Formats: sequence, C-alpha cells, structure tokens
Amino acid sequence: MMRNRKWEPCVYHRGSHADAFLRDYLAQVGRSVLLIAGAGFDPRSVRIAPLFPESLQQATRAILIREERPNPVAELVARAVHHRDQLMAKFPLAREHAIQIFARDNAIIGGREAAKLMTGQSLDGITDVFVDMSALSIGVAFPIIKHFIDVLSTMSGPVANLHVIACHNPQIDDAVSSNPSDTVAPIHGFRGGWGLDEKSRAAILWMPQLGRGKRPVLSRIFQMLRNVQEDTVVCPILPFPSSQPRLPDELIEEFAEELQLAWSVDVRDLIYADEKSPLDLYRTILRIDDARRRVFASVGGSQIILSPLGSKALSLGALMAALERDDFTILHVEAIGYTLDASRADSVAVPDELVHIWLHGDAYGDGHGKEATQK
Amino acid sequence: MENPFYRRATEQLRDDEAFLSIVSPQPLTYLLKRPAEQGTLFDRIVLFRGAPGTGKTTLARLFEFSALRAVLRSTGSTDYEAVAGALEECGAIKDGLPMILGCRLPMETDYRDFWEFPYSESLKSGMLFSFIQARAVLAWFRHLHVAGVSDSTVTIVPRADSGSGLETIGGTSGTAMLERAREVERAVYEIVGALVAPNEADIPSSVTGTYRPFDVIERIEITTSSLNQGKPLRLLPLVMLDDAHWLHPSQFEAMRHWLARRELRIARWVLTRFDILQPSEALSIVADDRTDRPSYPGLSASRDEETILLQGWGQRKDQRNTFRRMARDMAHRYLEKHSLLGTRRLVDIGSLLSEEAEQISNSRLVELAKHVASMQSRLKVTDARRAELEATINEFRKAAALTEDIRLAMLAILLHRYVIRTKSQATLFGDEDPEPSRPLVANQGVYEAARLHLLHRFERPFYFGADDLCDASSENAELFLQLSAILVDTIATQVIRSKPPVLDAGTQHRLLRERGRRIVEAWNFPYADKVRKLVTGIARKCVETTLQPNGWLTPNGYGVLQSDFESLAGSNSELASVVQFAVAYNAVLVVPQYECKNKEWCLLELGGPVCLAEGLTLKRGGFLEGTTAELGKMLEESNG
Repeated sequence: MMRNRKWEPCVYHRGSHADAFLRDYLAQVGRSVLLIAGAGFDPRSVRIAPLFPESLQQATRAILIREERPNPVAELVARAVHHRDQLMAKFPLAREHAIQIFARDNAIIGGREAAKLMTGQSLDGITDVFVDMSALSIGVAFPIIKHFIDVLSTMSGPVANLHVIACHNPQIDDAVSSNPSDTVAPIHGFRGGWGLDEKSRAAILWMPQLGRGKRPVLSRIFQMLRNVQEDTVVCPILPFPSSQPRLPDELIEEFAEELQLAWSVDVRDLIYADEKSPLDLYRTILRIDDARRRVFASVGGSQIILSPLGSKALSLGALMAALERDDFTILHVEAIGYTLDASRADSVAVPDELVHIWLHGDAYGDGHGKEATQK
Repeated sequence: MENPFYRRATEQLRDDEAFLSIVSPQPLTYLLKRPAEQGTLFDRIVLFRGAPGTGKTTLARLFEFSALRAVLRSTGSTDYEAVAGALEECGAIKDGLPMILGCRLPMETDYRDFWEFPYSESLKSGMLFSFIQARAVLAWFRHLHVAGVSDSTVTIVPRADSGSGLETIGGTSGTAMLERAREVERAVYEIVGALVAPNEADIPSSVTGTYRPFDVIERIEITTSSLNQGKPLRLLPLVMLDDAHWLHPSQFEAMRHWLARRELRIARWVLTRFDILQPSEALSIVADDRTDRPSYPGLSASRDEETILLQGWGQRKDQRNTFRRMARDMAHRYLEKHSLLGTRRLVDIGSLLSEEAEQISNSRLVELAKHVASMQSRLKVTDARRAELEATINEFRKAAALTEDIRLAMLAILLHRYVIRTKSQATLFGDEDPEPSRPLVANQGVYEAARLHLLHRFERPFYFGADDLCDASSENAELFLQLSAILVDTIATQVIRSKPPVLDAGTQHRLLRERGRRIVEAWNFPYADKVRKLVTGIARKCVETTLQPNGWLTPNGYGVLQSDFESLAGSNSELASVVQFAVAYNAVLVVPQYECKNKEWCLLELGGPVCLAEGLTLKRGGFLEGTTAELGKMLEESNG
C-alpha cells in the first residue's frame, strides 16, 4: 500500500515555466527574500539574478557562498571573483562567506560549516528563502536545504517559504571535471542510521546516479558498501528521457564493466528517471522503498543508499526522497578540486534550463507554514 | 571464466571460507610470531602501519571471531591448515579453541566528526572513546550472535579493580551490557548526525566519558559454549581499529594514549596507512589548528606500544625476499582457485613465467655491432684494448653465457668508461693506448645498464620472470595481484588455444609495461594529476641518467637531504600534500635516513608501475641527488 507522500502533489516548474513563474512570483508586493547561492567559477552562478525585479534586488539579503578547496586553479578563482562581483552589483545587501570544504588534514567539513553558517541567519521578516544550488556542490547545498526544512517545520507563527532552484545544463556539466578526494562519507545530515548497530542486518540497496566521468567515484563508494555487505544490491539510475537521447546508452557503455561484473546489475534493476524532473525520481525512489520495507521488515529491514552524482536537477529528486524518509543515507565523495574546460563552458549553445521546486510553505499548508495533512 | 586475481582485496570476500582459502599465512608468521612469543601482541596497543594494499584489513579480518571459527570448523582441510598453524603460533587459537573475540571497526566514517564539535578537547575525546567502546561491544556481540551464542549465556569477567565502572556498562550480564551499548551508540550517533551540534549543557552524561567498558572488561565468558562441548569458554576481547588515519592527528594521538594505558586488559590493535608524513610531518601541517593539543608525558613508545610495519620492515633485502616468498604463495592460492589453471595444476607462478632472456633480432644485432664499431673508432680505442675489455666481459657470468646483444651493449659502456678514465693521460702524453686511472670491470652494474640501454633502444624484454613481477609490486599485495592478473589471463588464453602455458619474456615484458602505464593513468586519488606530474618529472630525469653512454648510474629514485625533507611541510605545503598522497598510494616509496656519501638522505623511490611505464630498473638504491625546491619546480614546470 502506498504511503502518504510529503510532496505529492508538489509545486514545481522547469524551463520557461520556471522563469515565468519566478518572475511573476518575485514581482509580487511584499516579497522579502533571503537568497543563498554559490559565488563560484560555474557560469550558472549568475543565472538567477535577472529574475529578481530591480526593487527586490536592492532589498534581498543574499548569502554568497564561496567554496574553498586546497590549491585552486588561478583561472577558476578569477572566474569566481568575476561572478561574485556581478552578484554583488545586483544584490547590494549581499554578503560573501567562504566555506572551507576540507580541513587541513583533508577531512570533509564543508557540510557542517554550511549548516553552522545557516544557523546564524535570522529569518525575521523574510517571506521566502531561495537556495540556488546551481553553483553549489551537493555536499554544501543539501545540508543547507535540510537546515531550512528543519527550522521552518518547527517554527511557530507565519514562516517563510522555501524554494530550491537548480540550473540544468548538461553541456556545462560536461565541461567541469572534478578531482575526487579519497573519502567516502555520508553528506552531513544525511547519515540515515548508516553504521548503527540496529542497521547492521538491513538489506542494502544502493541507487547510484550514473554520470559521465563518475566511474572512479562510484567504484569507490561501491567498494565501501561491499565491505559492509557483500550482497549489496545495486540499482543504477539513468537519465531518461534526457536532453541527449543517447546518453543512457553511452553511460551503460561507460559503466559496462561495473554493471556486468563488479555490481552484477540485472537489466531489470536499471532505473530510468526523467533528467529534468526531480519528482519522477523522487516518486520512483519512494515507491521502491515502500516495497522493500514490507519485504525486509522481518529480516533486519531495508537500507537505501543514494549517491546523486549526476545532474543537479536529478539530484534534487534524491534529496527530496532523503528529506522525506530520514533513514536514507546519501553517500558522497567530495571533490578536492575542479578543472574547467573554459572553451567548452564559454561556447555552450544550449540555453540553461531552470528547475524550481517549492519545498515548504504557503503552497502546502494552512498559511502558517504547516503542511497540509494528507488524506 | 573468472580470474580470481581481479578480486581486488580480500576484504571484499565476505564469506569466511572463501576468504580464508586465499589468505597466505606467511606474513602472519613473519610479522606476528615474535610479538606473540614476547607476549606483547594482545597485551598492549599494537600499531600496524602499511600502504593501501599491504594487507592491513586482511590481517584484521583474520583475527575476527567469525574467521577463527571458520578455521576451526575446517580443521583437517589442507586449505586452512597453514593458516590455522599460523594463528596458533600467534596465540589466537589454542587446543582447537578460539582464545580471542576479535572485532574490526572501520574508522573511515563518523569518528573524525567529533573533532569538529565546538566542545573542549576532553569532552570531544570522551565522546569519541564512548562511541568506539559501544561499537566494539556491539561488534563483539554481533560475532557471538553469528556463532549462535545467545546474549543470556554471555557474562563479563570484570577486572578486580573495576569498582563502580561495572554498573555504568550494565553489569556482568551480557544482555544488559548489550542493551547499554546500544543506548550509548544511539545517543552519540544522534549528536554526530545532528546538523548543528547541541549545546554542551544538553549532552547526556552517558556519552561524555563515563561509559568505559574497556576499563572494566577482562574477559568475556560464554557459560555454555557449543564450541567447547558445552563447557564455559573464556575469550580475550580484541578490538581492531582499522584505517585509524582518518582521525584528526590530535584525535589519533589522544586515542593512542588512551589505548596505551597498561591497566587495560582487552587487546587493542590500531591499523593505519603507512605514511611517512603522518604523524610527524603531517602534524606540522595541521599545527595551526591544534594550539590546545595536549602532550602526553610518560608515554614511552618502546615500552607501551608495539609497532608492526606491513611494508618497509627490516632490512631492505630481507623485505624483497620475504615479499617474494609471500607473493608466490599468494599466487599459488589464487591459481588454485582459477577454474582453468587450477584444475590443470598450473599453480606455480614461477614456472609459468619464463626467465629466459630474448635477444634482439639479427638485423638489429648487426646494427648494434656497427654502432659499437663506429663508437670504438670515434673514441679512438685500439683493437687490443677492445679485446681486453671483451675478455673482461667474458669473465663476468662465466656460468651463464651472455647473449651477443648484451655483450655488445656492455662493451659500449666499458668503451665510454675507458675514455673517461684515460682522458688526462691521453692529453698529457699522447699515448695511443693509455692505461685507465682505475681498472675497468664488467660487473652487475654494467650488466644492468646494458640491459636498460637495450630496452630503450630496441625495446628488448627487460621485465620478466616471477622475481621481476614481485619486485615491480613494491611489496604491495594488491599491486601484485593487479600486475599478475593480466599475465594470468594471457596464460589462460594460451591454455585454451592448446599452446604451452609458459609466457615468454617478450610477452611478459609487453604486458607488464602496458599494465604499469594503465595503472599510472588510472590513478584517481587526491592530487593524482600532480602526483603523475611529479613522478613523471623524476622518472624522466632518471631515464636521462640511465641512458648516459657510460651507464654510471641506473637510478629509480630521487634523494633530498633528510633535513630538507623534514622542512617540506613548512616550505611548500602543496608539494608536501602531493608527496603525502604519492606515498599513501604507492606512487612513491619514501626511504628516510638513508646514509650515502656521509650524508643523510631521504629517498623518494618510484613505485613499481612507474618504473615499468618509464623503463627504469627495479633494483634499489640508485638515486639522483636533488632538493625539494627542484621537486617543486617539477610541478610548476609541468603546470605551465
């Protein structure tokens, strides 16, 4: 039997609908916005700014996050500074905050630092919180979103709406390559009971989101999971429909060795999720979880592990599922550095496509930020 | 047809029987017998250090209770006999009964997070220790459950002086102790998993350091054990903290100090990556954020700790010989599992890899002879002198005749050495056939240089035979398996095609070089690109020197003064990080305090795959003298 779902129905837009909706929404009188965005080298950093009417730009409290990684490439730093200056010019009240992603002993601390930074932010007078994760890594963005979900869900009285935006552009994704760290770890706030004794007998299902160039990272995560449970079941997520129709085939080819040998994936275990629709993946993951809970309840339970390493839009679906079922674990390998193929990134022919999800607030409840009870 | 050599690490084999059948007992005996005999193996903290792939986790898994039970279940099986014998020598098994209750706790996730809490150091350490202890207790009970032991038949034998500590862990009842451990684990986990750490005042007292089962437990007793025909069985608890290098250096030091206390009765092992920059140099990197780091006077490494190196132990020659024995044994076990080769008893890797050298083709031999003749003429060496040098070469290796190509290559080297050693005489006196300042001898060095010259000029097979395969593995079991896998695949193909199974030198050489290149290309650890640049920079300089016509040196390493290396962390943090990861992932082997020319050097020896890829000797000791500044430049130059 299907369980009630938090974001079913969900207010969500993409493409030109997202742009149109956000323009209209932000133009409404009385909007007071807290914007959290990345001020990084990614050209999508500045995509959201033009959607804000000029009067709102002047009044918006923006927190521009600069993710600091060891020994960055000078060109990327220059690009990040350029984007930051552009955002500062648009949002005069913006503040820039640097977040160290790695401690000096190379431990991953970015998520914890991000959550700490958000804890100090007042929401007084704010009607809408926008988290633009286009230029934020998921290790930083996910804890921030979870923080606001937690805070807004427990606040009394009128509370702010929470919106998440991701700018989808596979061509830019392909132009950015990351150098992974050697640590596989749950994203901060998304442990989901990983490692607890009570979960030691749970049947593990790993749902990695396949993406180009992610073989080494996913292999590392799998190796860790296999060390915990030899018969870990793998259901890879492939983007389909996709802006590049052959992408799923190319990914199957790229991951052929893993799919056939190491992960022993049955062809029926492949999960296809609309590349631009987080809700498609969100529903799929929850449907699978519902089925597994019933099956494994009497033999130690079920543990779902997510690794959303592909497109940002799709990773939002995994995030929503993990927010809803707080016993999902999101395993991740943080990037210790990035390289950008500047010529490719600067010559992107396909326009960016925005994905907007209204995660919490007026759209779902009684006007006080409480979510409506599902029937 | 599955090739078992592709199974990367034994830790992936969750089935105990499958795991045990591929474990070689050699390292157990070699590494653990002495401390076991001295009574230190289970009596004090034992620190195991080794690079990834040196067998840390394999070793730990072998001492887990479930593995011991699997060994005992299969007594009489030849597969396990050697392993059982080695475990008995180490004191883990006695009279057919397990003596220890071992559990392995991987430290990769959760534990480092405590360091980020905004609490005092003692509180953070207290929480970390509570967490470790709770998880160890839970892991011990998990092993007992798998063995069919119910909680109610387990009792704790406390230390005589445990006092009120016994109550805090739930008393002597196994059931109560398990329940208490679950409570503590859950309470600490909630703090670790919280987005923002709670205020210090809100932390429950149960997780702040009062929970100390390690201080209380002396033995764990199973009152009616099926393992002991229904009689009681007393086990010594052993906790093995695997991959403890993930902890913050301060946490690691605190934990080391905590576990080094003599009053603890349980056995405790700490397994970390071998990394010369940790803890000494790496600590200085993080010096800025550990101003309040406590020091631990009274902790004597020699008295309170036992350190066991899984790589780089003992004399360097011994290391090679020991690893060769272990690797051959391991290959034997893996080949036995091979569905095609095992059934045909083709299980001796040494006899499957030909050690017969292959000469270059006749046309190339003619080319080489012409080259040497013209060299002789250009260098103005008389025929009589050449004949004398040839006689010297003939004296070398009388037993095994040298092939013509090697003789010519050695002659070319000696001709150049002759000219260098006669330069001053010839200039001063105009003698047509002067005597060299020092006599010229054809020795192992000239032979090795000649082979390398032929490798680079004609791609003459250089890497072949089981010893070369072992030496190219940098004393790393996982690397050995990776290199062997491709050779075993090819042997299997030959068998399928009804050809002799023995691989000739040329095929081995080609496959190993390809594999070496692929391994280097596939590096994807942090700073991998920079590590690649660094080792390529060093390797190119080494090749340049190797190809000097007089073959004076065949290096595969880069030496900097020890003092220079020790200041690396402060002088160039990026290079220090690059070297740190290069060491951690076997791209480079650091040999500290190497005495040469009355100076103390620190050698950065290139790993086996790099030597294979670049065509360098696998013999040790040859190095280029340099500085860390020059190493830094290699990164910059490559960057540009």
